[in-house]
Parts: sequence; structure tokens; C-alpha cells
Amino acid sequence: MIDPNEVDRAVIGALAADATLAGLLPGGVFWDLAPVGSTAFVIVSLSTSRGYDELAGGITSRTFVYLVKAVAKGTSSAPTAAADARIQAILDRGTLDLAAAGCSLMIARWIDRVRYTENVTASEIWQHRGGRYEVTVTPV
Amino acid sequence: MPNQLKLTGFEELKREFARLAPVAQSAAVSIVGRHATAARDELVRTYPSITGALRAGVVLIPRVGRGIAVVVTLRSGSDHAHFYEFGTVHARPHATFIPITGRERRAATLDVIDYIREQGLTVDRPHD
Repeated sequence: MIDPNEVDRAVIGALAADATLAGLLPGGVFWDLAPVGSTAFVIVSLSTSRGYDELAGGITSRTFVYLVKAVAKGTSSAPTAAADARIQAILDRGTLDLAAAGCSLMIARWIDRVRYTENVTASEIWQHRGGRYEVTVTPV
Repeated sequence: MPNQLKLTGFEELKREFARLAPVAQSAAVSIVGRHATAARDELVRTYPSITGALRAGVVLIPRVGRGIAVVVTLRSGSDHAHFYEFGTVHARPHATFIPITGRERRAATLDVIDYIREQGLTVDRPHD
């Protein structure tokens, strides 16, 4: 049986294990929200998911779509641009360790882009840049 | 004598396709419109209402498609829709638009396929 929580962990794990990404965004990789005080980090969030009925009504594969974005404080978009490229290098056609999830990876791929600037106050500006990634898995 | 394959009935087939296209388009307009409206209504219901701007920014735009294409655009256009959908530093993402529109788009595709099959044609399983 596919354990979706372990698929989530596999995505976060792949990003957290990358030293280059950690160098670009040292705050870390978090689900939905980063701890207060973090100023450069990666957010992973579930965008949508669905199952596919392929054989005799049984779900044989599932797709999870994740929002994965680099978030950094400041007016410069350079840190998030570099991190976005690194995230794409890791996840687009990448591999995931799904041993604990009870499934194997069919494909992980980039779907579309997300980018915006957040002005919390006139002097506090945050850059958000990343994309949505599809992860399709099948039970082992 | 060379091998020869003679096919007949092309003119009749072309006439049948020409007849089917406008009818199918008319049915598709109804089907796609119904699902787009359902998506809009669900989106408005699901979005929170504090100032009302998020809900007010949901707009359904029928478009003229090329050929027999049927196109309806659903837009969430308030100034802070992307903050709600994709999150801020202090608020988690609330993926709402994509799950709702994706579900209704798939349902519309299946309904159009059902209609085409009712007309006696075969439709392969669609790609997602």
C-alpha cells in the first residue's frame, strides 16, 4: 500500500540532502511553513493528488503534485533564482528514495512555474520562486 | 495486374463528420459550461471571505475557440489570490484553485467523451 506521508518525506528528504541547495538556502526545507526567524528556506506543500483506477477497480498508481518554492528575504531575486534552478535539477526527472512509501517512482517532473514578491511591510520584502512538481508512483 | 485497394464511402464519411462537428460542439459548449460554472461556484464557496475580494476576483470568461474548440477560462484574479494559493512567509499555502478546476476539467472531458460515444463513435481513453 502506498503511504502518501512517506512520499511527502521522500520529496523533502531529496531536497534536504542536497548540499548545494542547503548552501543557497541555509534555513532548511519545511512543509507548509518555516519556523519563525528563518530568512532563506524551501517550502514544500501538497497542491493536489489523485489515484488512477487501472485494473479491476484497484488503484494502481497515484500522482501527487507538490508546490516547491524557494523563499528568501530581501529585494534581490538572485538567491531564489539559483535555488529554483537547483530544485529543478533535483526533482525534474529526478529520483526519490521511496523505500518506506511502499511504492516506486514512475516519474517526477516539473509542471509549471510560480514566482511572486511579498511585501510584508515597506522595508520587509520576500522573494518566492519555484514551481509545481508532479510525482507519480506505483505500488511495489 | 497490380494489387489494388479500393475504398469507397469517403464522401459519405466526410458528410457525416461535417454534420457531427457542429452538433458535438453545441453539446460540448453545454457540458464544459456546466462544469466551469460548478468550478466557479465551488471556488467561491471554498475561498474565505474577509474583505470579499478573494471571492469577487473569481471570474468565468467564455471564449471563442478556434474551429470547433470550446474554451472557457476560469480566473481567480484578486490581488492576493496567489498569496492565498501559494502562501506567504506567515501563512501556509491553501491549494484551492488547481484541485477544483482540475477535477471539473477531468469530469468535463469524460462527459464530452460519453456524449461522443452516444453518437456511435469510439473514443480511446484520454490522456490526463
